[in-house]
Amino acid sequence: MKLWTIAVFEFQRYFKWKQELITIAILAAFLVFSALWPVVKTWLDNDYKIALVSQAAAPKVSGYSFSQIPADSAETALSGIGEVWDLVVQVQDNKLVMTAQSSASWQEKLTPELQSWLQKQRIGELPLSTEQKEIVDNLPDAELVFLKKDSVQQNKEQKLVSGGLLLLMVVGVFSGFGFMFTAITTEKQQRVTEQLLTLISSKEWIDGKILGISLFCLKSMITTGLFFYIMLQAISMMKGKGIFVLPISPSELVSALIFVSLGLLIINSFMAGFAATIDDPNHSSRSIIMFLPSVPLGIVFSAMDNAEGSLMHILSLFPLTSFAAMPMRMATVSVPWWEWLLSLVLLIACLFWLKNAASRVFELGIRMYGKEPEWSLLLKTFLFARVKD
Amino acid sequence: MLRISAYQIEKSYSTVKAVNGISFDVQSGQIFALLGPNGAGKSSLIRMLVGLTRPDSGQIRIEYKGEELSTLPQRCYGYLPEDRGLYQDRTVRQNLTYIGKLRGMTTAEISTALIHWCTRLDLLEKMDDNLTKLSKGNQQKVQLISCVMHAPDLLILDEPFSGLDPVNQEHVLSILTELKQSGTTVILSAHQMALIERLADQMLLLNKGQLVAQGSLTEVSRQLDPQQWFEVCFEQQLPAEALDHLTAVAEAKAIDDCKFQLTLKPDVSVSQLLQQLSAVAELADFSRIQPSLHQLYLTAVQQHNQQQPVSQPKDAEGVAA
Repeated sequence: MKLWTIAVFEFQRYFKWKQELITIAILAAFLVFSALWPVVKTWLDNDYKIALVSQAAAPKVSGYSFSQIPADSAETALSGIGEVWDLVVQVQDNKLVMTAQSSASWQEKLTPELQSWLQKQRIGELPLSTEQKEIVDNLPDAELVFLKKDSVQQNKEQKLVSGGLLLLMVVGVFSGFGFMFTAITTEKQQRVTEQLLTLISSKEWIDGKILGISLFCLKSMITTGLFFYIMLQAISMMKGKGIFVLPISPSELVSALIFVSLGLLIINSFMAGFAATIDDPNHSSRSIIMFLPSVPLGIVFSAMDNAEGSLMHILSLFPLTSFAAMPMRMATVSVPWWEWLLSLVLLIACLFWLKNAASRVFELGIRMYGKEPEWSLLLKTFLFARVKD
Repeated sequence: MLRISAYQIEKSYSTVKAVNGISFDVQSGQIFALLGPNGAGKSSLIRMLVGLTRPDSGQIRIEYKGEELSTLPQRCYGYLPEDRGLYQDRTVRQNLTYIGKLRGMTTAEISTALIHWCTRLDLLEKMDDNLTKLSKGNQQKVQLISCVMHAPDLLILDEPFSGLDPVNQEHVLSILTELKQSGTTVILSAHQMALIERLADQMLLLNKGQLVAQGSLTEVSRQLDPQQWFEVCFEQQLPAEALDHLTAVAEAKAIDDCKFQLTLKPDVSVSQLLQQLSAVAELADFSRIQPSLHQLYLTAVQQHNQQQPVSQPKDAEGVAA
C-alpha cells in the first residue's frame, strides 16, 4: 500500500496536466508543420536562373531553371549577372566556365551536375558504335532475388520499428536519468529525508520511487511513440498509401513492453541508488556515472544491423543489454521461445539483485549531508552488505 | 500507557563521542525537554529514539499500551527533525496528504485533520499554495502539522521553536500545552529557556554528550545551584558586616544599607535562619532568590566546559552516518 502511495506521489511530482497538454500541442503543431513544409518550401522557393551558352539540350536539375543562350549573346548574358541571371555557363575548350556574382553553396551542388552533362556531350562526340555508347552510358544491371514476398518493403519497415524502439528507449532512459537524479538530490537538499525515514523504510522509499519514476518514463515513451505513429500515418495518408500497418504482432508488442519495462526498472534502480550518494548535483564529479545506463543502448545500436549475428544473440541474453536487444531482435528475426524465456528469467533475476544492491547504496547515501561516501565503501555496500549507521 | 527508558546510551561518530552514557526516563503525559548548547548530543539522542540511528551501547526500552517494544510504532508518534524540509514544489495540501497517507490515515481522516490544523495555525487560505510561496515560519507550521495531524500519543520535536517569531512561539507553546493536557507525551529539544521553564515537566541538560543535570525545574535548579540564596531586607540601616557573626549564615553580601543576600550553612533550616535574622533587626522582607533557567544553564555549561580537559568538535551531530 505504501509502495503504491509513494509510486503515485513520485509519478505526480512530474506529471502535470498543463505541461502534458502543452507538449501535445507542440507535437501536433510540429506534425502539421512537417506535413505542410514540402508544400510551403516549393511555394516559397525560387529556382536559380542559369544562362547556358550551348546548343546542346540543357540538363534538368531540380531547383535550377536553365535557359539556352546563343554564343553571340554571351556578353549580354554576362552583363545581366545579378539582375537577370544567377549564373552564366559557358563551354570553352572542353572546360566549363561558370560566372556568378559571388560564391554560394548552391553552386557546389550544381557543379557536378554540369560536369556530368558536359561529360555526356563529350562521350557523344566520340567515334563509338551505338552499342559502345550504351555500355559507357549505362551501369550494368543488378538484381536482388528474395525468396520471401515483399521482403524489401518488410526490411524497411522492420528497420523502422527497430530504430523507433531504440529511440523510445533512449527517451525512457534519459527521462529516468533526469527525473531520478532531480528527485533524489532535491529531496536531500530540501531535507525531506529524515521525516520520511521515520514513516517508511529506505527500502519502501526506493521501491516506490523506482516504480513511480519508471511508470513516468514509460508514459513518456508511450506519448512519444504515439506521436511518431500518428506522424507516420499522416505521412502515409498524404502520400495516398492509406493506413500504415507496423510489421509487429501484438505478442511482439507485449513482449517488447515487458522487456522495456523491466529494463526501465533496472536502470532506475541503478540511478536511484547512485543519486542518493551525490551530495551536491552542481559540484559532484560523480554525476557523470549516471550516464552509464545509456551504454547498453549504444552497444545495441552498434550491433542492430546484424540481428542474426552472434553479438546480437549474446546481447539479447545478457541481462544488462537484453531489455534493448531482445525487442529489437524480435522486430527483425524470429527468436526461439527458449531464448526469449531464458532472457526474461535472467533479466528478472538481475533486476532483483540490482534493486537490493541499489537499496543498500540508497540507505547509505540518503542520510549523508555535506559529504559523499568513499568509492571503496560504495562498492562494498553495492556488492556485499549493509553498513553500520 | 507510554514509557520510554534510556539506559547508558552511547553514540560516536568517527572520533567524536556525541552521546556519553546518558540515561533518562520519560513517563506518559510528560513534557520532557532536552537542553544543551549546539553539539551537546540532543539531536543524536532524538535520532536514536526515533530509530534513525542505533546506539553503540546502552538500551532504549519502550512500553506502549502494555507491550514492551524495541522501536516506536510509526503510527504512535510524530517526529519533527532538526533538518526539516518538505517538498517545496508541492502544495501544503499535497505535502500533508502524502505524509498522512504514509502514516496510514484514510482520505477522510486526512481531510478532517487538515481543516482542523490549518484553521488552528492560520494556514487555511494557503492550503493550495506551493511551499516555496510560504514564509519560513509558515513552512515551520506545516511541518508541525505533519507531526500532529494523526493525533499521536508521542511527539518528538527537535527545536520546534526555531524559526518562529515570538507570537508563533506562544502559539506553538499553547498547542503543546493543550496536547499535554489531552495526554500526549512530548519530548523536545530547545534553546528558548524561558519557554522551557513554562512548559517542561522534566528536563535533561547535556553538554558535549554528557549529563549536566536532570529532573524537574526545581530539581535541576538544586543540582545546578545547590547553595540556596536568600534576600533579606531590614527596617533599619545596618553595617555591611552585620550578618557575619550569625552561625546559620555561610556567606553574606550587602546589596545596600538595608538589603543583604546570603546563603545557609549546611544542615541549617530556614526557620533557624529567620530566628537569627529577627534577632539582628526587624525584618521588612525575606525571599528566596530563584535564578532563571537561562542563568542556570549558562553557568552550568560554562562550569562544565572548564572541567573538561579537552574540548570536542562542536559539529558532533552534523553528519548522520
